[in-house]
Amino acid sequence: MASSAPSVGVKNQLLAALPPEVLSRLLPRMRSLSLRIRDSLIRPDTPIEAVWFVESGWVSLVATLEDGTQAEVGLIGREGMVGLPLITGIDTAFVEAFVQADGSALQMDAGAFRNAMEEEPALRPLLFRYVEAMYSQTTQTAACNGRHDLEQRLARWLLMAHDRAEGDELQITQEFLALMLCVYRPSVSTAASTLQRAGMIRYGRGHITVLDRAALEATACDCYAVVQRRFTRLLGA
Amino acid sequence: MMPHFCLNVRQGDVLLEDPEGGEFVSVEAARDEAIAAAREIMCEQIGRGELPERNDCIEIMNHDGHLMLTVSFDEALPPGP
Repeated sequence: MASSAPSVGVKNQLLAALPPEVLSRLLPRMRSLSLRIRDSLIRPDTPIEAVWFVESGWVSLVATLEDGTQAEVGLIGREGMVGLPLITGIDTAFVEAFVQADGSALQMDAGAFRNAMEEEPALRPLLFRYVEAMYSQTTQTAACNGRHDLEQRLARWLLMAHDRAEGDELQITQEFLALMLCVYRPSVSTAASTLQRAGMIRYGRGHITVLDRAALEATACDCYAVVQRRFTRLLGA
Repeated sequence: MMPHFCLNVRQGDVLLEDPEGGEFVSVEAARDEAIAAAREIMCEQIGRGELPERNDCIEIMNHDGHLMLTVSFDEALPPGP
């Protein structure tokens, strides 16, 4: 992974929300890393080595059942941070965090992050609000998976990914989409083809292009807008 | 290396191709997944108030694009009384 000193003008929205003097003290303790698709940042039940403030691309939080089945339980882009348990002082995670779309992040070692949480009073309330926002995203997803139909959930997921992407083309395989939505791949084909026939998206091998975002918003369940509102209320724009 | 199969969905005249396919331990494992997927698709249809089409099917294609096996939605349903 390429590494370099972080530049001024961060894209991560949590860091950008900090007072400039706090940010300027934190940045020297971080390094800029590229995130590559399928990189595993956190593995369940192993010590978390660092936190990652995502600058671009996105990271998926995935729960694994005893039989090996996986399902996405959270999505983190430039609005957030990977390594949530460290915020509350817990050093292992229960879920896996892996990169789902190439990008970059500002990484801080676990030890340096713990020190920063002690030394920078501005960090704690901001990150506690972020924990609550992520909890809200996860609880909404749990309820959504149980109640809403696959087309609504696919539309919701595409909007979440589109918010975190640069541009309208999302690098995403059917395999990942099936994992994201906790369904079999042929189900993804049927739901994606419905959205494609309605002119909302175009999909092919390894990519989906968003053609009509407004129509996706009309198709998605309310869960998308509900979580957006909560993020805005807790963390600002 | 595990064999690679595509699970295409045929709904009436429409063929929904599996763009990437996936790896399975065997064609039997691909068939098991096709049956589970057919059930899932039918559940979604019933949930929307639609009647599943029993002649729809999932076509299991090998790496060269040859049809290995067809799993009709009918096969994925429990046998009648």
